[in-house]
Amino acid sequence: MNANGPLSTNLAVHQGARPVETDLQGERCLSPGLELARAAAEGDVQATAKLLRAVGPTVAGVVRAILGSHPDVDDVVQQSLIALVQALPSFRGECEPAGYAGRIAARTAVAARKRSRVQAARTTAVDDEAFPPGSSPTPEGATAGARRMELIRELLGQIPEEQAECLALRVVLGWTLEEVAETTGVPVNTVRSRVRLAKEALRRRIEADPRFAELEESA
Amino acid sequence: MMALDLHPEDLLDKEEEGSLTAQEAGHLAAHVAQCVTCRVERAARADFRKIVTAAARAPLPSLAGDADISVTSKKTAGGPISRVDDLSEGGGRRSVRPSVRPSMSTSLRRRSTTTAVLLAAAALFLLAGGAAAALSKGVRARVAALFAPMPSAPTEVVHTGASPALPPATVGVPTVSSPTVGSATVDAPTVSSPTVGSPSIDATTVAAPMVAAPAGGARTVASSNVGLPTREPRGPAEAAVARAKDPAPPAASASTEENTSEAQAETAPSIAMRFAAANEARKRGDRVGAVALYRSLQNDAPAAPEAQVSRVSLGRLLLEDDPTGALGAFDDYLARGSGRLDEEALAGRALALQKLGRSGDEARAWSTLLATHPDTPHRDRARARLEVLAPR
Repeated sequence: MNANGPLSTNLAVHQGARPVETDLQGERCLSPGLELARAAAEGDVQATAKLLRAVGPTVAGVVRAILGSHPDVDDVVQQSLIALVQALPSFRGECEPAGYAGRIAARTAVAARKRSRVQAARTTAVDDEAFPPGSSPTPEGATAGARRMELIRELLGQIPEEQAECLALRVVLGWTLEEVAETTGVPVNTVRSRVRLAKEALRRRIEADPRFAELEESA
Repeated sequence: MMALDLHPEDLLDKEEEGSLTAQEAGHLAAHVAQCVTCRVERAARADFRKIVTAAARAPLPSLAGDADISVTSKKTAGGPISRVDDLSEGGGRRSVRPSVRPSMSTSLRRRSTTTAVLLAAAALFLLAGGAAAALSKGVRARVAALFAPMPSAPTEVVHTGASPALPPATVGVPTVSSPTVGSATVDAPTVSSPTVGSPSIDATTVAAPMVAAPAGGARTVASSNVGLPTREPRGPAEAAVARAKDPAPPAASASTEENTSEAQAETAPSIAMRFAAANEARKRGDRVGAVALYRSLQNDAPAAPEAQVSRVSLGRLLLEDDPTGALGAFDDYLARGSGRLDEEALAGRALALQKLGRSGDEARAWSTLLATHPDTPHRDRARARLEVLAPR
């Protein structure tokens, strides 16, 4: 990756140097999104409301993408927004609030997925995979896309949390390795390693379950 | 390490960004042709992109009010006025990609836990979710004070449209909007912003009192019908309609309660283990084994919550090869009282009837599903089938 290319700013931030934009008067200035986040972090209720409205749909999209038909989707969306508000004071502005909210949503949803899996193993609740709404058990109703997403969702609940977060950010949100590294605060090679381990688990899952054999043809 | 174990993540990133050279595209194509993992990943990315993009553009139904507050702020140095209502960079999944901006002041770190909790409470009110019901009276009062009419602020604030309509004085307990509330309490995870060269300050972890755990403690059951239904089983469709009208669970008779208590007290661990074993068999693809285990469980402990839940699992397993058996399993579930899986059982019942070619019954089954669960994810299928089955 070209150190002088568009990602050099990412690297610079990660190494401690903080890029600064200044206006004509030489004053530090933030993007509108970061200004709103700062105001919200300082206790501005209207700014908080504005921020939540702006990122809410994104948060909901990420949570729903990761949890699918999980019955706690709404609760997890709310948890994610609460976590965002709580995390604002320590938000360093390394990315836009929408991206930060997306990461929080992914992490919260992955954690919910893991809890759900643990609960299903210990309680009498039917797995949400048992009869997921929207993915009919009959061949004509279950699309390859729905099965692929369910495969990823299941995997997110099974692999270690660091790997799950990286996999979710890449597959669900489409982030690059550098973007994941920047936002999660770990080196790119660490992200690369976590992704590799997650994909090894994905490969084993595909090979072990006959249901997913046909995903090869439809992928 | 085999070549196939090394995935070209950088090339996948470039493909995502649309910056692949022709040579790189060739390399990626060659790898993908041999690597099922990357093929599935690429396809899954497209699958998720649709969901995230669609959801990011859709308004949250639970947000309070439709106010469009445009906040203009003047920089203290007299800089340009800028609108701050364009956080999402145009919407779509790209809107959630991080893009580096100048960092915020370190003064933000001086935020007290109390205020963080109040902000979180404000979020709850804004979202009008059932979680706010769990806030203490004191916190609710303080949040109400936050939303009281505020004096004009030094920064110019221009409101377009109505302000968020939140009662400044009375704070009532919002109704629970989600029909799926009922699972165990879920804790909010700690999320900290990555820090470089300075000590990290983690956001306070607050166990979100969002959903009260159901009575019964650690042994969560999917079916709310822990006590047994004692009324005579009636037609499953009728039972489902009746439950929709009167969701109160039926009272259990003394003898049935005794049987239930006895069964649960003596065999609860083994019932749970047998249910888990049946689920594992199903997940392994051992259909025959799973069916046998589910049936055995239902035979030995018909009143157990695990057995009740397993009727839906069994019905699903039998749907392809034994729709008659599947129908029986779904009917058995529905006849035994209300539960979390009513919707699935009704949908499964309709599918079984479709397999059996019983058009009239199938149409009635879909109609019942739509009548009792109008927001069911199966509604498109139900409507499509009803259209097909409609008399000409």
